Amino acid sequence: MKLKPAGKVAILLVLGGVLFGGWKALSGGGGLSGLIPGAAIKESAVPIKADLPTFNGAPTASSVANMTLPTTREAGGGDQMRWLLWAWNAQMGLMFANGGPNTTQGSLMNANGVNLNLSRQDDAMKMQEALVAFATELSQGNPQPKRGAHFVSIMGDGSAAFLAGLNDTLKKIGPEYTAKIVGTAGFSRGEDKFMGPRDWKQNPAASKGGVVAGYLRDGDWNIALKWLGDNGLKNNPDEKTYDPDALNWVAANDYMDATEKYIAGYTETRDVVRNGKKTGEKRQIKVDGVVTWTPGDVAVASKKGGVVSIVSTKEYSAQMPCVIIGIDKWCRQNSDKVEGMLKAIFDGGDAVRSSSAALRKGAEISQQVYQEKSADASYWERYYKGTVENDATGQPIELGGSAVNNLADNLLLFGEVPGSANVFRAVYDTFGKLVVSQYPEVISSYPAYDSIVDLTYLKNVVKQTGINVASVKGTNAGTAPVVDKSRASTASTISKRNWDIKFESGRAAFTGSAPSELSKLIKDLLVAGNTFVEIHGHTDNVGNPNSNMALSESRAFAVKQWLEKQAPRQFPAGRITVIAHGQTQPLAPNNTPQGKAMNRRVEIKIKASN
Amino acid sequence: MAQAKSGGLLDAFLPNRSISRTTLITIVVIQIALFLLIWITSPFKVLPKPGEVASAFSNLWNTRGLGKELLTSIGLNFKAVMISSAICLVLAYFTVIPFFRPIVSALSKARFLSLIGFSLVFTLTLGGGPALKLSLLVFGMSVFFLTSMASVVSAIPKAEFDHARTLRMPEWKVVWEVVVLGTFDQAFEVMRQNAAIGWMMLTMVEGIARAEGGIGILLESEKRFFHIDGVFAIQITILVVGLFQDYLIGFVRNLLCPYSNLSLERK
Repeated sequence: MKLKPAGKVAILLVLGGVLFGGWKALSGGGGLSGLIPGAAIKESAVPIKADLPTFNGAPTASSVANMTLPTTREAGGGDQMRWLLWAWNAQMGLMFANGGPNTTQGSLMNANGVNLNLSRQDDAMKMQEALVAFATELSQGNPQPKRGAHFVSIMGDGSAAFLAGLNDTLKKIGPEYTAKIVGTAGFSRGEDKFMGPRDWKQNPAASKGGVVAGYLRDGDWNIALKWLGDNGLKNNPDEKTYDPDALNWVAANDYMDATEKYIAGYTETRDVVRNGKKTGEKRQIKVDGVVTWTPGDVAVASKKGGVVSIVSTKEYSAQMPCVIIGIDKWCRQNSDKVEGMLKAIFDGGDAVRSSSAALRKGAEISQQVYQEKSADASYWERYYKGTVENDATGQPIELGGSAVNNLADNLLLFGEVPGSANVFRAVYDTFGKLVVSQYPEVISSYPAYDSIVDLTYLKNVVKQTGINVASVKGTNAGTAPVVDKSRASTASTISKRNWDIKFESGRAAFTGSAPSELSKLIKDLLVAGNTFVEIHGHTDNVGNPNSNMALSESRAFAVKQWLEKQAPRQFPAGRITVIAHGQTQPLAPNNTPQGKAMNRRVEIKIKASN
Repeated sequence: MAQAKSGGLLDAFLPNRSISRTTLITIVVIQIALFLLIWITSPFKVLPKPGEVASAFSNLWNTRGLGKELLTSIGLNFKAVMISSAICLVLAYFTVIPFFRPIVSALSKARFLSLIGFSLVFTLTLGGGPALKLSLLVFGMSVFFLTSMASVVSAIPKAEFDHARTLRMPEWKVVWEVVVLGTFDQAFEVMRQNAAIGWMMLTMVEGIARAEGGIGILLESEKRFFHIDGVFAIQITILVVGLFQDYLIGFVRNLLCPYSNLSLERK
């Protein structure tokens, strides 16, 4: 039986109706939409407090005197190692050490028996894939794999997220094939920043309802999240909704995409939520700010402007060490090359810091390696140092800024020096916990610190150089802060927050639960290495006002002493100031137990030291 | 015509033979089994096994809203297919008028351009959001659709035009009968191919405005945290949905144009 045209039309209408009806019912608010589970709306929350260690490194004079500039002739010889890296000035020492995209004759790498290729790779996933390909070939019997990369370098605060998925995959080959951090090349020192309207900087609470473009769950996002946490403000982790009581995010594909979205004035329409529930309202939102790093910050300023650096790795100076990651088994089997490479990088750091000729050379090499359009050698040099320029609207803005590490910086960073906290452990755990707490369904856990760091090679470099570990000095605000006391009183406040540190009644002695709160506090302060700290003591109104003033001072002083005892290198004299308020500044009426409890507090202010 | 009869398994390996449905199903099952065997015994330990992919799929479906994201993506792709089909069919039919031929030819050559390069231009013009995604997708699909459809129109034999003219049809009537109705079945085939192109491009453009979600966002998130099993689960989902889309357009084509297969050797 042949179908009549009417029959065919009827079939099409029924088919179309069923498909559209099904799509509608399952998609939207239709009756059947519950059949297909959707992702839960994520509620805005105050990020956990991120306590950062302080950190300063010291120049090693010996290598400076003998420094020579590398030639431009490729050295060749031996198996070439391959390293993938982002465009990032923290690697300036590495650039100088290598002499070019490939190791050159007369370079520090060449002198240390290393032949290295440096390639720019902005995509973190490609880095992970390269390490997996390398490990796979290594496990198949080739001791010098031709595929993938021997090393990658990334921002240290993102290590937990980077290594979580990567090492889960690598463990399938064997536990000895996991990726490990073997050292650091430098720090971001301001070039990674949270850029937003001026009034957010003056009054952090004004950022409620703001919209920032950024690459989520990564280093620069971490800066903003720490700032929110330190100010007790909410973050909206749901990139699909808009919460007027929190900071909201437009998720970008990478740091340059975030930059571009701000410049273009990107807009979206989103569902409005409050307290984790949809209000039924929709609102068009526009990007107000951006988190990015050089060359992104330079592009934002020159092409659009209108934002300031609210907070950056200048203040959070320990947050972003440039960590060097390699495959454990290969590193163990080639420890001489790893150690030679590290020594060259450290000497390169010394050279760049102490010699303008070396810095200029490093900048020229950066131009060759990064191949950034319209960025010549002077560009990389200028933004390595950091500078203040007028943006497109004529407002001054800080741009760029990085620092290089030497051997001493590494020893201080990893807590190998007496009196130094393990600053990197604090950074790693702080931001690992942060991403897990904000996105538990995406990343439920991260590897333990001890499983992802291998300091063997660093220690062997120490033995080779004969350096006296106990006496090293930091040269770098990320490893050991240099305190200029004269600036303390005029420094601007970055953040302030009340800490629930418990004391015994009427005394300045900590109670049993205080240590866990104190350990969070020290991590927070270690990350924000380049800052002053003010500890404000407050009490309720019970008892004599003079006694309360004295009590608040002694309690604040107890916190100060605890911090300075834990990490004298990171909390040198003058970094922490104690201010007592007694019962003079209550937050709540003292006529209820709850009010009294709120008033018994220690408030920590973090102030910029620049 | 003994050669045209349905034969046994042996015919599956001889040229120009037809086989029974049972034989075809047997072949497909064997090939799928072979694929699974190769996958399970793969020497690349870092790649997930079928069981891991199934677990990842279950997790994505139940806790990450894979189903909802899929519906979002299907909706976007459907809109893009409809819009690009409407635009390109009209333009292709207009190539019967000489004035429009250079324009269509120029647009066709835009298929060599990269989508990514247009991101800033489109953002400045449209302001971002779903309109940006849709427009990039429509653009990406249209340049290929137009190329294919314009060549279908230009390949119409002269004899068909002459036949219509001998029946005393006015030129516009000739266009309707010969160009529009006459290529209707081929328009469906071109649409099917372009729907597949769009489905493939979808994961590229969804990252541009992530607030609406979509399966591409979920894919990027799994890749971002190096969850290879999740990536595989989503890729297979994309493939299955793509196959269904292909089948559906084919079904509609056969329903409306049953004549289109009559002259073919392979039914």
